[in-house]
Formats: sequence, C-alpha cells, structure tokens
Amino acid sequence: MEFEDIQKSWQAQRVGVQPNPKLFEVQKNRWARNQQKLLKSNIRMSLGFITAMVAIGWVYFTFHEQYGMPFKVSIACMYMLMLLFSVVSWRSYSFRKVGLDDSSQEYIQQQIKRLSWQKNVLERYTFIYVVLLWMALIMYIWEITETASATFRFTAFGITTIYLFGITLWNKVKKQKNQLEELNLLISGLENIKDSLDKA
Amino acid sequence: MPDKQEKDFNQLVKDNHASIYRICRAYLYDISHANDLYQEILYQIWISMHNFSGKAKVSTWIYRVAVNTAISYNLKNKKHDHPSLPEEVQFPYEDTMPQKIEQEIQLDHLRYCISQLESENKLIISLVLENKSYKEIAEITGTNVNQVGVKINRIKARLLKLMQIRR
Repeated sequence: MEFEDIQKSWQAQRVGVQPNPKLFEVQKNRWARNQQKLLKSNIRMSLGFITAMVAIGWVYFTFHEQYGMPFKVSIACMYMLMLLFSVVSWRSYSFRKVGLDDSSQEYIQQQIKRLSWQKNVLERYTFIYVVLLWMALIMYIWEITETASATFRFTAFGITTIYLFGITLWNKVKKQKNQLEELNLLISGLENIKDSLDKA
Repeated sequence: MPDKQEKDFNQLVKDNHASIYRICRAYLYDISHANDLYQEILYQIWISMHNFSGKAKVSTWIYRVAVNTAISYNLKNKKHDHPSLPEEVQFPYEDTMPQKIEQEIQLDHLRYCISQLESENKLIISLVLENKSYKEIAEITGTNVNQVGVKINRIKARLLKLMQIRR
C-alpha cells in the first residue's frame, strides 16, 4: 500500500457532521456575556482599587501623628498588598488573550508560561499575600491594644495568627495540592509535545 | 458581529469545514469527541477572527487555530486519550460488521492506526493527509522545514507499518 492511496482515501471520506447553528449561537452568546462580565469586573476592580488607595491615604494623613511606627508599617503593608494584588490580577488578565493563531510552538510556550504563572501564584504569591496581611493585622492590633493587658494583646495576636495561617495551611493541604498536581501534569504534557515538535 | 464578518466566517467554514473535520477525526478516534472538538474549533475560529491580522495565509491561520485548539482540548480532556483496545475490539468489523463497505472499513482501520501514534504526530499526519506542504506544516507548527520533513517521513513509515501489521 502506498501513502498516496491512504491520502486519497482519507480525503474522500464522508464528512459526517455539519456546523451546529444552535450550539454555535449558544457559544457566541456565552462569549459575548463573558466579555461583558470581564469588562465590568475590570472596571469594578479598578474603581475599588482607586477608592481603597484614596481611603487608606486619607487614614494615614489624618492619623499618622497620633500613632507610632506600627501604624505606618500597617499602612505600608496594606499598600503593598494592593500593589501585589494588582500586579497578579493584571498579569493573569494578560494571559487571557490566548494566541490560538500563533504557531504551535509559540502557543505551547505561551501556555507553559501561563500555567507556570498560575503555579507561582499558588506557591509563592499567596504566601507573600498572607504574610503581608498578617503583618498589617498584627500592627493594627498592636496599636489598638496599647492600653490593654499583655495577656489580652498576645491572645489577640495568637488568635489572628492561628486563624490566618490555619486557613492557609488547610487550603494548601486540601486544595492547592490537587491544583498543583494538575498544573504540573498539564505543564509536563505541554513540554512533552514541545520537545517532540522540536525533535526531528 | 457585523454582517460582513458573519459572512466571512460562513465562507471560511464552508471552504474549510471538511478539512477541519478530518483533522478532528485524525486526532480523536472517538467520533463523539471528534464532533465536540470540531464545534470547539469553529467557535475558536470565530473568536480569533476578531484578531486576525492577515500576516499569515488564511489557510495557515485556520490550521493553526485548529491544531492549537486540538492540543488544548486533548490536554483538558485527558480521558479522550485512547489506549489500545483489546484485540477483539480492535477489529469489530471482521466478524460483527460485515455489511460495512470496503472503503469505510479501510478508513476505520486507518483511523485506528493513526490513534496509535503520539498526540503531536497525529496532528502532523493529519496535516500531511490534507496535502499540506512541508513549508506550510512548518509554519503551522512553528518548526524548521527540514526537521518537519524528517519527522513526516518517520511518521509515514510508522503509519504504513501499523497499517500492515494490523491487516
């Protein structure tokens, strides 16, 4: 049997399916709705971000003379939290523009980058986020419990710390482990395809 | 979508739907999954049309969208990977479906042999079966023309061998 025969028979096969207009309409509507949702959520996020920055700035300039260093550290942590949140959000958003019309090599590379970024967010940025949040809360508690007893103050620290890191740990064990396994699987699958395309 | 774009899309589908369908059939052995992939590719072509810059040829662009969608689809739906079936199931037409016409039997056999290739090789052979040149396949996959040539020869040889073994 020659390859040309196979090719001819392949091309002569009956095409057993037609575009499904109903399903296509549903998909198109879903896409349009998602685009609108995305736009609205971006606007909401930007507005919320600006409002929070202004409010925190106002709090700082109004009260910074009444409070000491922990207050300033707490405000700085909140600003860093918001900055981190904004960087992570925009970077994640930039990956939404999937280049399906790129060559497969470029497309796969882009997908590997996107998945590695998601992995980084889970492994690293979530932890930095929690530490910053913990610092902001601890500094805040330090200020508001200045006149309280040492037992009360350290109990408040303890409860906050256990709650925050407890939830983080639970999340890591219950959810992140599976998510990371899935991401690793997808990344290795894509790398295999990429390697195989690279090889002659 | 404005009317012109709608018309362009319908024309694109009309001109290419058979090729897209055959790529799906080559990539996924199970016909119901191939049909799902086919719809997904059409949908992705429609979305990607908004960003089509005209740098690549329309056919190259369509095949890129099709191939990349197939890669993503298969990764997201690992369950569609098809391990070898038991021997008696591999050749159902031998005893159980004698009424099938010869050409359809051969096509089934060919599809089964293609399903035994690695994922990326299935995609490449599907493009070869569509009569795409080495240059076009290199553009679609983003690899070097010479490498593609060597690779295609290997895949062809393996496919022919599989076809002979399974006969």
